[in-house]
Amino acid sequence: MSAANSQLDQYPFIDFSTLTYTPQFVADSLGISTQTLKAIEKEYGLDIARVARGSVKTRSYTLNDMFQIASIRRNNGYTKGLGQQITFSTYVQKGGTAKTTGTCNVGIMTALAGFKTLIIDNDPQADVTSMLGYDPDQTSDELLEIGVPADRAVEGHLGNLMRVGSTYTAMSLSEVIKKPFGEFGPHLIPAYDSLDDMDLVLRNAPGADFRYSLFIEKARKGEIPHCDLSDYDVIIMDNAPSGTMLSRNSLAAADFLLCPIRMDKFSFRALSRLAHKINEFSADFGRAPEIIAIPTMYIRNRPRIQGNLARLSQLFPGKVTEQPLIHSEDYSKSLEDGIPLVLWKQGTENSIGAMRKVFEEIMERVKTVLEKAK
Amino acid sequence: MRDSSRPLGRPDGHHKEQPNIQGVAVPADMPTTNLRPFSEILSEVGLGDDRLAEAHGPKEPEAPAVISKTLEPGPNDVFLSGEKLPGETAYIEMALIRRGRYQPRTHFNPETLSLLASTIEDSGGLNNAIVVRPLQDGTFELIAGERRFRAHELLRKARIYALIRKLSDEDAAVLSVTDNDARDDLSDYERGRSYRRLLDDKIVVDQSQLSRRVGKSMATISRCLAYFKLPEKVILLLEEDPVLIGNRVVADFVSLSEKGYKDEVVAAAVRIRDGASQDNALNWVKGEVKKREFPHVPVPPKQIRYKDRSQLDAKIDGRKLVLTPPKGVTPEEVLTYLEKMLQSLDE
Repeated sequence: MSAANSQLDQYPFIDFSTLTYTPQFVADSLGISTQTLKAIEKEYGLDIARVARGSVKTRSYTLNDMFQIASIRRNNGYTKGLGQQITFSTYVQKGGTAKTTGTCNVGIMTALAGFKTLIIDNDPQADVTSMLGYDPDQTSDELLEIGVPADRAVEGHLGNLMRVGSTYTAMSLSEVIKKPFGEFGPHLIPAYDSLDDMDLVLRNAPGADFRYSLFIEKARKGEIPHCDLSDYDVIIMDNAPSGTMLSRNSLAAADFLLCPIRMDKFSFRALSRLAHKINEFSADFGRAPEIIAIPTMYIRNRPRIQGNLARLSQLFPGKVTEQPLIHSEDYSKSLEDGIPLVLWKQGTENSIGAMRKVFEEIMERVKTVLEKAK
Repeated sequence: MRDSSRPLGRPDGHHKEQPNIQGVAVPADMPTTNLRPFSEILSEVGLGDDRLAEAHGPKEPEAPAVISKTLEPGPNDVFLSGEKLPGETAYIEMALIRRGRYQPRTHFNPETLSLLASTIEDSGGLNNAIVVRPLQDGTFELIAGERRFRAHELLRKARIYALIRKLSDEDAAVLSVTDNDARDDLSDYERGRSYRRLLDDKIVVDQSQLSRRVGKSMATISRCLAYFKLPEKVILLLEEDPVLIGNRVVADFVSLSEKGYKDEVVAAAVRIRDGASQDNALNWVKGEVKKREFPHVPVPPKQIRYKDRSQLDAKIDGRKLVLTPPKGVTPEEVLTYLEKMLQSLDE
């Protein structure tokens, strides 16, 4: 018992179902006032727990409550739909620019905006899987041994669902999918290191660059019996900073590319190359996803960084979000606590606030582009 | 992109300065977002509806899990080292096949292997069956087709199309060698090793019988076997990379090694492994040998008294004698003096 406990102490395991939030945090996350929040509860008869705080009992929301309210708002027309299903892909061939952080938080925020969201971890390194509370390295038995629920283990990944070639055991969506924050939160197709072999699998498949496009297209139409993705409004894929077939496929399948960019030379180069790549892709196939470049790790009051950001916005007109993600300890702290930033209560205006503003800009851009495409 | 064949930007734009940020060139024209429906692209790249069936997994031919004792004659005869053999073919579980002892090939180029794998995947399986022979314990020994076998492993196939032949140990050994011998991408070292094994295991008694059985000239056989006269450490390096030393230079290395320059030959092999060319490394050994046979010992200059007061430095450099006069004395002066002196000796 004590041995198990001490091991658990060292294992950063967060049970998301035990987290509770104040009405203010929930209202801010949903982008509504606390009054509206109360009204929704009353109207739909939601049973929110109360905790004593001083002499007054206040509401205490679980993550499930929060995502359920988002879903109710959407179903009842309080939040607008997009008119079509969309795919985001987070990609820039430069490491450490906050791709994983971006994917997780945008995925959570789309769910909070009422969209049914599927996050696909398309990186064999499985950082998104890990950030959302799963363990890509241990089996369910090994986890049970150290006192972590067995469902925190990863059973399968995209390769098991796509069933291209015979490399991976065929699995169905229900066997693979993870729901870190319950039914109404974002869902996850996790990854673990064997996804690496997908590169070879894709290389050997006919139409090698478009296997993800094909899969997503069919699955969204409900034409793949073992993997029906017709319910999801938003799919968001996280990618390794590599040029493997996994990333190429993800790029080809995307409608919107989220490109987190640090204000340094290497990031600029990666973004520039990406733009070239999209240009070529566009010439070859007559399709080009919308680039949404997000400045990250921004430091205020540094003329050099400000200058670079201004120049970047000028060179990539309309592609760079006005709000940058600001360099903050909150990213590391929330990661250490095992809670994605936008669900981390201690988050400040500099961290969560900036993230929410960036998200607003992303969705504005999405709506504008979809409008134009009609 | 620099290496792109496609011109970027407008045709008249080549006078325009390339925009850049911190020295990183940025495309002059941003891609125009175009969310064309995927269905159009997919049918253009040949992933239209007719090809979709395979998204649900490829159909592997239904085959008996393990072959039955009474084998049906296969549809095709099989050619093996030029000989037409009646075939009994079957789909065999990959797990039941083990590599033969006489397989000469140890070095597999991962690139061509994955190329082979994709060819196999594209053509929906093998056209030529691999050859195996049944063993006592119910497994099969691989006789021919190790690359095809490995490609199947790469593709994680459960079964492989194989011709089953009942062969004696001796025939199996010789066939393993001869079938692979026909391929020209096998290195001489790998050939030599498989020949040597046949000799060591007394499957053939001597080189002339070997020559007859594998259908190679005595010259080829002795050239391939020459590798085993190299120092042991070089053989170990060859095991890692069988093309390390080509047949053009092997004889030179062998003769140097037999002359007692084993360490130098090993060092040369290491140089080749680390990127030096074979000729380069061979020349290096030859240079070392020359140095050993004609050691170049620097001779300290000798000082000769000249005209009683100044000194003349004399130095021997190979076959040259170098005289350096002191300050204030010209070389012409020294030469005249020497001539005079030599003449006076004659008189």
